[in-house]
Amino acid sequence: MSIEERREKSYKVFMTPLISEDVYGTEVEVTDFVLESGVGKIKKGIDATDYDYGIFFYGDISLRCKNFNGYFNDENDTRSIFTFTRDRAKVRVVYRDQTTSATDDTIIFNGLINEEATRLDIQKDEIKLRVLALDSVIRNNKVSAGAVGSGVTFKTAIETILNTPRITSVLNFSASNINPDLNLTIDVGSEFDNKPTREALNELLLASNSVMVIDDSQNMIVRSREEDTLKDVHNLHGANDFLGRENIKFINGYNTGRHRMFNSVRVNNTVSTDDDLAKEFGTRQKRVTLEFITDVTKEKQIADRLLKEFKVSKIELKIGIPTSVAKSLDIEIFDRVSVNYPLRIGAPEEGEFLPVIGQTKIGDADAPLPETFGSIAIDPNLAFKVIELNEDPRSFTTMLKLRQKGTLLNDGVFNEDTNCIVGFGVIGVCKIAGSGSESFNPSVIGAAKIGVTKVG
Amino acid sequence: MPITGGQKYFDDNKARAADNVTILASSGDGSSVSAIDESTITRWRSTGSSDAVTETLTIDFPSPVTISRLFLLDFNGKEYNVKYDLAGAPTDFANVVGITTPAGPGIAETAYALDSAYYEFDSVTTSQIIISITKTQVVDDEKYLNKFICTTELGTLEGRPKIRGTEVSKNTKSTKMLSGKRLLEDSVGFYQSRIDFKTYPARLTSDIELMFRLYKRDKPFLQWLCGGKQGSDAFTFQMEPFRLQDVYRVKTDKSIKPNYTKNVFVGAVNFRMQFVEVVNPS
Repeated sequence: MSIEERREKSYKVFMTPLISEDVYGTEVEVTDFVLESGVGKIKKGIDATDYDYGIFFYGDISLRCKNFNGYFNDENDTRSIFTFTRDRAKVRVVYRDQTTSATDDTIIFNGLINEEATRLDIQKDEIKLRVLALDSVIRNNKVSAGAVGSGVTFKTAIETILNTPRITSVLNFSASNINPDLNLTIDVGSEFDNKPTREALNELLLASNSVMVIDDSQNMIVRSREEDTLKDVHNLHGANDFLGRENIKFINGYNTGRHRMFNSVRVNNTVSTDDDLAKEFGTRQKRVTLEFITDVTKEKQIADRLLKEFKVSKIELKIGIPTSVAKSLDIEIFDRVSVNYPLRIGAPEEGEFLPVIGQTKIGDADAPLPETFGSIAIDPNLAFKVIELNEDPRSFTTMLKLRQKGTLLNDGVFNEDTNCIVGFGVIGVCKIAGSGSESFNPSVIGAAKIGVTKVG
Repeated sequence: MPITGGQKYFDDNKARAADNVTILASSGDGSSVSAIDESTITRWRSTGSSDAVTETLTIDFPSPVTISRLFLLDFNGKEYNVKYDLAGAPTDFANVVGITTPAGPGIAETAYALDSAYYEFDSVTTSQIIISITKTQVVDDEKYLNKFICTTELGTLEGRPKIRGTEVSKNTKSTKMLSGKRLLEDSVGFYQSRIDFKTYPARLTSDIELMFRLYKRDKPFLQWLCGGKQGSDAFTFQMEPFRLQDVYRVKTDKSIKPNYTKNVFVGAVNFRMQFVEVVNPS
């Protein structure tokens, strides 16, 4: 009997201390010192709060380690691995999928220890380290006076802000990765003088209807909010999938997205409103102040673009899946997701069968319509995009926050041929979608309810 | 090996729609996928059939599979045969052993009367299996099949460990309502069991080795508690999960705690195996 390949999944933690100013030493593995619950949830996404637009989320984690040997004390302890300073030591967390023949590490977090928030529990010999994501360097910078001039484009301004030595020492910059959705010119460049980088960046991202993400290779990417159509759609399945493809651990937070719908946008003193939607849903106005824009035409363009993005409510929900599934599918922010979450169908009675469309006649005694159970069914044709990833190392669960794609009332679906949802006919004895004298075209007679984008 | 009724364990089912296996039925094709899905409440069912009509189910694998065991679970066939594709020709399995003696050649029955069937045969590698059903156990009934499984065997227990803690759950959630009455909500549910190897003869090394291999195994496997036992000789009443049709996809979920009786290493062994029905998400 051959030995079956074993597989072990785990998290590993590595640290690289500074040995002198801006010079890092050798990386060491510290996994064995980390408590079981010692790695906090690792979050990345574009939307931080409800009732607002999201731009960029700075994900930090906390790390709890056993310090019984002074390993993690500051540089004043000769036993410590931090010989120069504990502050700004690099921390790398990887998810390891180990088989008997291969090791596959996925970096899930890179950060720097923040000395200010480090706390030592002497009694328990435990230390809590606050590790800031590498993008925290953006928070600690400011825009130099005169760096952003009047008349430059949003793209140029963002490039100027990000392409500074302090930021590029930890994150990668490339002009080809800076592609704002709306690229107008700035009227008053001096508004950015000495402004914190984070604040300046947020304003430019908002004005350009863009978001910033940091990819696994630490590249800074500025892009539109559109989903990534280059990657395949990820298919997630609920408990009642007959084919047993269940890979959803939990599903909650389902909402219609009304809290993030704004059918009126005011940029400075210029307003753009969708009157029809305001009439139907009530006016929900978002006010934006952009001091670097004074031209009314540009204000209108910005308002129109933001209005287009957020005027329609889009379904949102949270789904938990095994981290192993998230890694094997390589799920990232803006990836497209299909959620197949059918209702539970009650088992037929003894001697009866479930009806089959195209086969069962309405009125067949041994194939009655079954009872269905469940608060909601989610059609796999609804198209979602990932706006947040939240990985919990303790439970090996990754939570995806999804929002339906699109900007219109009817574009939140995957467009495919023969896509239709068929109800059931109620007139006489009829075959659904059958053929012959006992059949009828439900959409013509109107007894059956059909909701389709295209019947192929 | 004759089917002795010892608990049987098999590799995971190779005929699963979730693994891109396809199936085509000569009639009732709209429900044919039910024969290779994971649900116990869906069935393939023919339409307009009778004992004068032979219905076929053709199962195609995306790549060749090696099998030596197959099940037809919750099935009403009386006269039927099962063949595999060999170089484009439907071919009989060799050296077939069944719960009852098949009429032959290969897997072929003329008067089958049980609600599920199981066959062992010489290992074959094939990309297609064809099931042909002519007569049903109730004359002229529509043919139906809940599940088709084909696989290889991991082992059969020679001994008789104690089967405890079997649970067939509907995963019911109970909520107390305003009236004080309860609202019960079921979901798909699960099966689990506990097998106690208590003071187990150490000479039954194949059983012990099998259990430890299953414990360390990463992939799901199939468990068949009755091992082919059926009828009044074996059961006064054969209840779930001990029926012929109760084949579960399981893994072990608890630690194994082996020890020797009275700490005598040449004596009997003691350990417990806990099996739980699983999904295998990808």
